[in-house]
Amino acid sequence: MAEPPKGYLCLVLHAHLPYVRHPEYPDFLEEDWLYEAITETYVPLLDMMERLAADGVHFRLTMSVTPPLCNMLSDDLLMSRYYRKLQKLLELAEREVQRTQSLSHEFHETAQMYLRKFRKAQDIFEACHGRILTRFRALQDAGYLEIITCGATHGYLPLMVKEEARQAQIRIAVDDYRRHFGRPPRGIWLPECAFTPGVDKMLRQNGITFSFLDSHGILFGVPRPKYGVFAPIYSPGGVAFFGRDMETAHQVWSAEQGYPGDYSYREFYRDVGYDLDYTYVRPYLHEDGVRRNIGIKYYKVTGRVPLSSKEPYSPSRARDVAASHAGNFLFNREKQAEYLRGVMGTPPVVCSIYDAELFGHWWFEGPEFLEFLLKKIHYDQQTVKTTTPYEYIQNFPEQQILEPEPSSWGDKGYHEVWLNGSNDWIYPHLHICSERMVQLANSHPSAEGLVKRALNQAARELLLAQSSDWAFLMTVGTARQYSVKRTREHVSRFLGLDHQIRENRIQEDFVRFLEDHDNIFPQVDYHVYQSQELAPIYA
Amino acid sequence: MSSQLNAPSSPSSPQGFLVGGPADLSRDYGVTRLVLMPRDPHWMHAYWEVAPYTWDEVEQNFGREVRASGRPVLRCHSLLNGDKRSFFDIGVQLEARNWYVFSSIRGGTWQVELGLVLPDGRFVLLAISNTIQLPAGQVSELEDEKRGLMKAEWEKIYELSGGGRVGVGSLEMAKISALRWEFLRGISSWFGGAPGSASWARPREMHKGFWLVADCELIVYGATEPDAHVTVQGQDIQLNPDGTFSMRFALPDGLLGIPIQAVNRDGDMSRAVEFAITRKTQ
Repeated sequence: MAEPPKGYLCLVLHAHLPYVRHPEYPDFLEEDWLYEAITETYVPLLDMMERLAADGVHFRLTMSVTPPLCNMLSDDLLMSRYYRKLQKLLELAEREVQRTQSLSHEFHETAQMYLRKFRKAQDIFEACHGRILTRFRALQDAGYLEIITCGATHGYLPLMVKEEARQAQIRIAVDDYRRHFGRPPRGIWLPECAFTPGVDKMLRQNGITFSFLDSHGILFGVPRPKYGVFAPIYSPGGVAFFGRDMETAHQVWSAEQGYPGDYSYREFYRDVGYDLDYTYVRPYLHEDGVRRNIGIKYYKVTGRVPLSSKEPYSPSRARDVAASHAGNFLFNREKQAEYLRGVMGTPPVVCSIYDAELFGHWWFEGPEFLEFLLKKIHYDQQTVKTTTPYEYIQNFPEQQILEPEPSSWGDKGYHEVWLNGSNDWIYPHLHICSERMVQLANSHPSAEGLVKRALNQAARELLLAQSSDWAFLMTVGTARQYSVKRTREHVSRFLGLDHQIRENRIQEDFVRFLEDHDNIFPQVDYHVYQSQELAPIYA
Repeated sequence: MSSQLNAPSSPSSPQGFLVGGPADLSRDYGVTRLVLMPRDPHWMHAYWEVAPYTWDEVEQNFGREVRASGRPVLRCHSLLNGDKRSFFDIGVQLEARNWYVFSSIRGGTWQVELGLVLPDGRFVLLAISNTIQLPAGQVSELEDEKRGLMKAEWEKIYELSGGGRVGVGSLEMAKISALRWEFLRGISSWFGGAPGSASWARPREMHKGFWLVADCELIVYGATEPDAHVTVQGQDIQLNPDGTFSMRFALPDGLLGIPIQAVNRDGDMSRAVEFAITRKTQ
């Protein structure tokens, strides 16, 4: 019988995009966030996991698929738009295979690779009738994947004042998860990994048993953690928290060893959208005709050289490098596990947490790296095994109890990214909306008809305004105008509904308009905002 | 309360809500409130609104001159087991409507009162905040009774856990941690720069072992005649009794313009100073 492993690797991918859906425009640029992520990240990850499962490779992965992302991936309008996009991309890839026949071997090899990838995306998308979540769910049901939830709209919990507002972010997420995955979630990725005391109790009340903290969330906990971030802790509220491992974060990103910057990997910024003849690429650009990334790129990182001096990319060479990086990563995990096992006297768990969108989109070879890594873990050694937090806790239920440090994974480790001079203006509005939502829920214990619809829509508008994405984008100055616009829009829509409900003058066309546009959480129930003493017992 | 709402009037057509919402949101909700939020171990943020009904009440109790004679402060109480233990006052501009409050001690439980300190020392309460807890920002002194490791081993584990670096990430590191933001910036119709330009560097990597964290903020101060009317960035500010004023600003990367204008009591003379500050973090 095989020896038990010396340590465990818990790989966590956080998949999230803010809810962006604009039926009022035939062609909306920010919707591309989703479309590119499907083609470049979600489908390749899914494909990778399905292949491993088919080959009988033992692996465990944990992945958060946030409620906004689940809702977008289940939205008919967005999915039909995605399918159209994919058709265009396929058309271009086919033309590219023709065009590169006369060019050097690398270009042609790369063009064929894109065509294969896009066809694969099409096959998967068609086979599941445009519902790729069903395929993720199947992987979870088969025991390979642990899908966890997140705040309903990725709302930043520590900066919410009303308990009911936090509670609603969690409850709605749990309900929505059940709708998509057929069972309640066991774990949660706290939005921005942001913890504040009391949240743990709320998680537990909603049936959630584990979550994650940035390393200092555990290291600065009280009392001192016995095993640093290499063993989970239980919070006083009864939730197991796993700490983020910094070494594996650095290994992927450090100056000396960072994998994605390897000179053989694909260069992100040389895209046919900029490189090829304008009339040739024009049909594949947005309606405004501005040159942008399309998603077909022929060059490799090459070195510290200008974009114009990049050399052709070779998929087969990049694949070899991904394999060797996976070997290097595993070697380091083995050493880490052996050392920690010796010191701790119990098998450590190393939690490597990454944004899912890193793999495939930014780091094009990321999914291949993961596939090599998981295969090597399965076939080549016995020191390290992959696990999920749930599985680890089942095997090692006795852990230290400590009060975690309020923290986040943002700059400087606390709340400043979401609370500074560029975005602090949003909180007076968000807080007043939360307060009024609670008042509305308390004063309407059993609304029906139009009033009920208006109340449910008010909840949606509040939730959409609360996305931490908007505050973050204001801080970093990216898409700031869009983020400001979205915040104002949802706040004013909420206030409009609030006013109409209170005045008993609800306009149905207004409600219907908002239901069509801000259609996240079709089954939301405004009662989740009722104050605790009034709320019905949650089943 | 609904009569004081500044909610949009019932729209004749929903089209007004179609795109972008209103040009700006009203700052007044007609409710007196003071809200406190934690930022990090040393800093908290308070914002407030003082509604007319509160002023009426205060003037009734303390006289009409109270607004002119009282010095607005945030009285910051450190709490222990729910009891007020000690406090310090921070002078604020009421019109600023929000303030970042620094506490020299890390962590702790806090509650803040907004009020006016009268010349005779009395404190006139305008609003009282919620209670918050600031993060400790350091390794706990408290050890588990059943400690698993020897001190040296614990220190090693702590270091391996990233102990020397925790909480000192840079914004770049934060972006690396949350790569979706690199992803999002690649596609934005609202962002001027085109991806592909040289400025779109790869994320800067974190250095190992040795670290530095630094940030800067901005304090603007000045003085004029005590009865002058002064605006900073177009907002009215309240002068101290001796005509001095000071304000603290967050200073993000980029260009920050701070126009200051003073008009004398009679309104026939004015002076202006404008600062243009560029912050560039490298």
